[in-house]
Amino acid sequence: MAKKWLSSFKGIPLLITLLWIVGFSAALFFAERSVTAFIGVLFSIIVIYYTNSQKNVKLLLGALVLLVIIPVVAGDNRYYMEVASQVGIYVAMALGLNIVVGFAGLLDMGYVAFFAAGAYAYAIFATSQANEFIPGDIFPLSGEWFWPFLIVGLIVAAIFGILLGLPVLRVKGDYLAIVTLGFGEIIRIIFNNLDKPINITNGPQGLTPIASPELFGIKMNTPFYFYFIVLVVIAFIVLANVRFEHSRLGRAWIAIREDELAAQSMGISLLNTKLTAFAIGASFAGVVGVIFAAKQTFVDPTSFTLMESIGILVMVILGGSGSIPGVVLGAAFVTVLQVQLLKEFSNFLHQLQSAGIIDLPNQLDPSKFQRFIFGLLLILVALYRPNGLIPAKRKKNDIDKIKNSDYNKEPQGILAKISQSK
Amino acid sequence: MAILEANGLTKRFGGLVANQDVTVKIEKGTITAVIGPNGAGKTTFFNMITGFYVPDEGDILLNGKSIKGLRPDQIAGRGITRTFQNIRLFKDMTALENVLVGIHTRLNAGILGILFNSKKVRQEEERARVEAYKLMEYVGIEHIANEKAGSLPYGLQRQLEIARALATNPEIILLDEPAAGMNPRETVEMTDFIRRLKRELDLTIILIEHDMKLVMGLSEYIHVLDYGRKIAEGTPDEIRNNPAVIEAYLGKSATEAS
Repeated sequence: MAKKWLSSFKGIPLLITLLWIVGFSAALFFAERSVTAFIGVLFSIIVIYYTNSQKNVKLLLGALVLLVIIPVVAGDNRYYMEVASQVGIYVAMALGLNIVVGFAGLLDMGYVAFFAAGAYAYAIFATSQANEFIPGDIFPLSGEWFWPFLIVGLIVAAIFGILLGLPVLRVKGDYLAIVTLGFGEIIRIIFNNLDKPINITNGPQGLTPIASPELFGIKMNTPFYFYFIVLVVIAFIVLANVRFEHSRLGRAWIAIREDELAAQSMGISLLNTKLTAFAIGASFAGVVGVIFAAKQTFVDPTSFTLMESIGILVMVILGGSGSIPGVVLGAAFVTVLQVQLLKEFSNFLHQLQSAGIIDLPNQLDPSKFQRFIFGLLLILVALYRPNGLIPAKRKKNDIDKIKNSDYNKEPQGILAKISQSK
Repeated sequence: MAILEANGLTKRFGGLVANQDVTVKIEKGTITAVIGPNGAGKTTFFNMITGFYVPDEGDILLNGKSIKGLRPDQIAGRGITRTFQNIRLFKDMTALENVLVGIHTRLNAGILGILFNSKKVRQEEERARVEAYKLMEYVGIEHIANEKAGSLPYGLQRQLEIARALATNPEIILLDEPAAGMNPRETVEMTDFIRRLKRELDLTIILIEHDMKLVMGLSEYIHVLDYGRKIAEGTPDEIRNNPAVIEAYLGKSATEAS
């Protein structure tokens, strides 16, 4: 019965979507600090995704919510913008990991290492740290250098990806997971100890203050600005994901994920293809790392633990490995849960406690149940949505377009032999 | 000149000798069968030709040049392709995409080209899609172009696997039990189809098959393996009457009784 309803489900009517957006925006505008309203606005992106309407209308609505409604309605509330840009950072990272895990099927448990590489690439040069090993008192770099360093972070992380990939990609499956896990830890420990003999990372003390981005003399040091920076980067990463997914490269990744032997006998080089997946996935994490460093103005090795890698992996698997909308949803969902819902719930219980209504032992504080709830969520998803909240689906090809293509006139490949012999 | 030569191939797995001193010459544009009882080492032989196993001894020559030690993807690039005994499709992809993967080596799109969706990449993609679709038409399965490969019925999966193999533009195609699990009518269709491949596409075909009717009707030359050694070769008529072959298949008493 439910299945039948699902298959006849064409999408949410446009009117309901509009009502949803207007309703929650108004609610957020009038009832400031209403968590429900804020989450309602964030989830309007999902509602728009499922709306029964043309692609352009949906894109327009999505842009309206992200570029206008959220900044206007929540813009003067630092907290909401902070949450929104944090959601964005994780969405971007999860999309990068999606290329490695979702498309190429390489279980990478050390993904945060690339994030760290990007973050440190910027942090070292945007604080006075670089003076320690580069002569001439030219550091810290000014905030204008943030923009070129987005590219630097990308390249540094991609190089890390290739360096890691070369030895590691000879192993598969569970072994790959263990080896990458080890790699992630090694990178963190190196950053933790690279304060001697030459002080490069300043070790456990971390690096601060990292210069905030500057553009045309405007110092972008509030979450409001980072929200937009992150949006631009996500737009780029989503676009890259979409383009790759249905390209020669994306097909090769998925072919390797599905069946390595068959992929090889189609002429796909395992090592090259896996390396590109690793490098591209890593480079996205590198870019996000630069933004993270600039946003926090402080980095130290504790931001790049194994739990972070696992957290991002959970987002990918929860949302739907290999599915772009799924991964976005998964990342948003987990981050909101992590930084907002549990905290709010905690605060709420604490209020009740101080009012003397309930007696809450410290151990039962909901914000301490984060991992427990993660685990529970994963089990539920594994049981009821084994392919994630929004499972990956391959786009169907437009057969009519193929039939009407101009290339039909000249035979290609092996079939050219027929016309020759005739 | 022989298009493919295997000279004295030996492959050991620990104490087990899967192939011992197997020498096979394949002429261009022929249909050759490799037969033998279960466990005779036929698939091991295929795996050595296609680079999945590196032979311990011996050499493999393609058009007179050694391809021994090359990786499977390199060998595929040189024009040898294969299908698998237990069909190996990319199950989550559509049928058309499976064929597109076969065209992979002949496409040039790089990372930046894909990222910026350049005109060259778009044209290349369109041309590849047309080619893939035409190949599916050729095999007669274009109606399932947009179906998920893993959800296709068995017979169509076999055909799709062949279409995918053809997409690599091979000179030699190795078919590992192409008619396994097919009913008699499908087997006849498959036989006709393999003949058509040879005639129209100028392909050299090597196949492993257990269905003797198919083997005898289709192949021009047969090599027989038993316990990893080659025990006979010849035309179907010669093989049919070869005492060593009869013994391998039916036991020693069978030769004595005849």
